[in-house]
Amino acid sequence: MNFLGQTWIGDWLAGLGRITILARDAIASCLTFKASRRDLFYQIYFIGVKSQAVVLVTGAFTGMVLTAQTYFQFHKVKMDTATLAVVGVSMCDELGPVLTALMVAGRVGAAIAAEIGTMRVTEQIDALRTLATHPVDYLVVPRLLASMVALPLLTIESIVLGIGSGYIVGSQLLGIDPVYLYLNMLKYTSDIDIFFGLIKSFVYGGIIALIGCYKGMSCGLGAEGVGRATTEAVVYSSISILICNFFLTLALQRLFVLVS
Amino acid sequence: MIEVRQLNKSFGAQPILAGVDLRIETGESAVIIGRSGGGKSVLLKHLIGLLQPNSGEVFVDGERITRMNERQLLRVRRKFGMVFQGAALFDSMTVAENVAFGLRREHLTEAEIASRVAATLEMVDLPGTQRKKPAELSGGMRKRVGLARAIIYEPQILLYDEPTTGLDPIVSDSIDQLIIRVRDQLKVTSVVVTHDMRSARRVANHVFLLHNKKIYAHGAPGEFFASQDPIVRQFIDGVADPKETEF
Repeated sequence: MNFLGQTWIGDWLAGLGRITILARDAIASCLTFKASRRDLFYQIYFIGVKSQAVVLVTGAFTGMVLTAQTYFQFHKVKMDTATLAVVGVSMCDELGPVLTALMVAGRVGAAIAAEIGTMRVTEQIDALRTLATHPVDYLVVPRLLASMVALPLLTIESIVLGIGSGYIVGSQLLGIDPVYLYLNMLKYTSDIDIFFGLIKSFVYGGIIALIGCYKGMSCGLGAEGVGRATTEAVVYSSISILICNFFLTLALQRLFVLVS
Repeated sequence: MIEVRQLNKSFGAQPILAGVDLRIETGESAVIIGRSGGGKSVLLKHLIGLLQPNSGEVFVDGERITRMNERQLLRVRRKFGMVFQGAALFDSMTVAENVAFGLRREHLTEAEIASRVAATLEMVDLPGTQRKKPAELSGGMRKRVGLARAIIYEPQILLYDEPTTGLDPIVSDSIDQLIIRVRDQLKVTSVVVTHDMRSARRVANHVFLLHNKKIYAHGAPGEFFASQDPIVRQFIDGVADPKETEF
């Protein structure tokens, strides 16, 4: 155990333990409704409304490029009208939730870590505690809930815009029959694809907020500490989202097979 | 009443406090003096549970706070107000929102909160600053706002971490007067951490010297400042150790 404590594995396990405790405290606080409604709405505005531009541009151009690439391959085997079906399933299941989460992790995860980290180094978190306010109730819970509400909504926007822009590119630019393009997309994209995408985005929202808050609250002293916390929040959130995506996909597919 | 028994605290391998014993009676105005980096602020943070010791106990009104978790400590902290060295104002909020923060849990109307904020800002000689942001305030004004935030909910114990550090003598004097005024008007127990001897003489009715990681000497100001102990004298007179001035 002593050996473990002195290695990076020990540090990593200790960090994992601390973030688990933070998650437990945040969930307990969520269940007892200790967060302020005003702070929650502000965070939904900051995370949801303010991230629209970046998410919409990402969704639109991902849909467009996916349509073009799929068409170039499908055209060789005369399957042009199935192009948007591939775009639809990909956007709903994978690209919509994952790319939205990665963009939000870059924008919001960094902002959360920087804000809370600055509060830590300027003793504002200690000041909160002296004012009989639990930092988890005041700082973590509003961000966690807001992120878990905002991310599915942003993902829906991203999916809609991705499929919509793919449809326009396919029908107007690549000359695919618009009716078959649209009908095939409807035929092969099911409700369950959208449902999986939304569950994933809900989980990714939690990951982004939790890692951002954890990195901010545990950041080292000084400007260097805040800078490192900000970078680590983005890197760890992004990696966690990608790893989690694989396991969530497997788990959700298995669950779906079991249920149906 | 605050009582500290055999408090030990280390950061990594660096011991900061080693066997600190301290007793501050209700209504007393205690000043803890000591050298910079000597652990005064660390000791102060233990009194309110912001730091947990490696060993030793802290009692507040007979309750042992060193075994409490963060949620249990919130109840005890309602007895306290704390003024931080750098004021620690919430920089995303206005002065009024900062000062009103401690009142939000008391279910008052907005009008009542605004009136309490105005009265408290008047008390710290900062009337009409409600809409300013902390970034627009000078160092002295920030400390006054920090004090207003700490006293608005009328705590029983006020902790001051270096209240006059970094301020010019005139502003320092006004902060000292403010501490005395708050102590006398609100009848609070005050614990002031400082290395400003002038401030310590004015504010204290019990002085503690933290030296070599423990309380080296303590007593009433008259007795303490007349002490002939070489360590106490060296600190009071501000005489550097000759070894430390060799380059």
